[in-house]
Amino acid sequence: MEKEELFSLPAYALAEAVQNQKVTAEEALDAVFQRIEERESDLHAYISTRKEAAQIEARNLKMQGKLSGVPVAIKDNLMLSGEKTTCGSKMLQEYVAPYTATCVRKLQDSGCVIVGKTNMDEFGMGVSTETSFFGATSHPKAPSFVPGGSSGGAAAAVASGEAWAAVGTDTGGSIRQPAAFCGLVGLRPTYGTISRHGLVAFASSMDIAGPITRSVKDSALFFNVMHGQDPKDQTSVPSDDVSLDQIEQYSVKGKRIGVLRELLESKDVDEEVSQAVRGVMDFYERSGAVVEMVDMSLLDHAVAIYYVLSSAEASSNLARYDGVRYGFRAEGCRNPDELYTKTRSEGFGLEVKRRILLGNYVLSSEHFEDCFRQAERAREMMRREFSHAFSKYDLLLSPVSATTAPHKGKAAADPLASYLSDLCTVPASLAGIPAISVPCGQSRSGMPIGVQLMADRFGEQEILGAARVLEREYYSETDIAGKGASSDGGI
Amino acid sequence: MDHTAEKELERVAKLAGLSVEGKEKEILLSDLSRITEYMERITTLDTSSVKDAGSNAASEASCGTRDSLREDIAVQSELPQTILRGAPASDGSSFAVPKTVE
Repeated sequence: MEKEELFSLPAYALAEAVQNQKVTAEEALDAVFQRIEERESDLHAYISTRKEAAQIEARNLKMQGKLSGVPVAIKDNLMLSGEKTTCGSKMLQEYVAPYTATCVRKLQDSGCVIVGKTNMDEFGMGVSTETSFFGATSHPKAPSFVPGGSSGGAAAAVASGEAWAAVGTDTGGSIRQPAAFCGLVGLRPTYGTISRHGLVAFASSMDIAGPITRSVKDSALFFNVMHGQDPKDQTSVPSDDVSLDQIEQYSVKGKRIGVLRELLESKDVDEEVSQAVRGVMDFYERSGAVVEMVDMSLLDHAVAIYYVLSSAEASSNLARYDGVRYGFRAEGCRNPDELYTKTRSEGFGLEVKRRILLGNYVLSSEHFEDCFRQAERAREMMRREFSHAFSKYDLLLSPVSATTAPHKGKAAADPLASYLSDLCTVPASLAGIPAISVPCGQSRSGMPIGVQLMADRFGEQEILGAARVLEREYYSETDIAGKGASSDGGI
Repeated sequence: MDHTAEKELERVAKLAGLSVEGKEKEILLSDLSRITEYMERITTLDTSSVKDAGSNAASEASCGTRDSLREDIAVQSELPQTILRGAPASDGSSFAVPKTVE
């Protein structure tokens, strides 16, 4: 098979071609590593690659898996036994995973070949992949721009053909926002449907892994492979497979779609983003859906609630990095106190320190009730607001990000502004509901724009179906194909 | 530099097991006061409709289920040795730390 034809195949079609012996897993892997050789020095999508191990796995592949021979990248906060898992941090620069994350093992069992570990903001804390200890990742379309974050390396790898698909993780938007910036499909599944065993913790009540893919069908297929209750994760819950046939046959006719007014009409949302999202609203309406604006007053507080709770959880989770059990240890420490403080002060970057300090601030006795407990209560109120909205609407819709991918350096210049840029993605994280980012247009300068679809808990079928309608019918109307993602997932 | 804010930063840094100094301290002092001021906007919210907040509410909000329990079954694991290999210093069977008693 010619290389161009090979790259035009979405992951599900590549797996079929491998099973039908039209192409070998080794050929697909070779194509990916050739692309890595061509582009990686400019992109820096990976922290580490594993060419030899992947070649052996491709050669000895079991042919019956749903994703046979698909070269996949995983974010560097997911464990792969025997491989480094750095979380983009000096603290774990030399840390080798002692076991494999459940969701990664499931991918391997389904025939995926793991290409390498992708770059990320340190411990997932950031929106641009610039807080990585190993240096920033560039946007595949424009090197002076960021690919988003924290799963920016994963998105850049998929968008550039350095992997067929990737697994990212999403705490406050870290799958959806880079997917939107890079013209890809990013799925944050219902909290608990994908095991967190082997995912290095940031904020445990919101962390979840999910696929970043070129097509909606690939996204559904990856969800089907990765989900399932796991005895090694007490917060994991059982869930059903999504039906690929039903996604293909999905119609929005008669569906009720609510548009979150506070997000779409926020003064922070760029006109180009707003127009692209309004284009999707018009399309769904023309296709027979009832599209209405919805008011949800708590959305104005979502970013504050998210940063109180996620920082509190992060400060507890990251207390484990003490120079005793993992990775980095500062030199010349004379006693345990000095070991602890010096190791953490030298091992963590500035953004991680900022979040740990914030977490300790809101958990300290002076602020525990009025900040932390108050945020917990507000989160419960937000969950109720979403529940109420889903009693009226099948889907909720909003932008993914207020802007397209920004220039490098912007996030570090104003941390509060970068936190506020999460305004559209953190509500679904707080509510634990599924949300998907789907390409819906591009800016005048050619940078991709995404739209976010949300459904009630376990509503993956609903959001993937509505996303597929958009991908199949709206792309041909608007000529998104050929400029970013394509209607069938090729590149 | 605001003396009260500096004292507060030092207090929180001690709680966090961090030492912040020099340029980093200046940056954090300026950022953190803006960020905490923004976060504190939630203190004005009326949350009286949520009576039983706390870990259960948070757990249900995120998971939709309360914590579940499973059987406590002892299994043999090779992990301890593997985990020790990831430690910065060990004596083969334990983590090694600097002397704690003079």
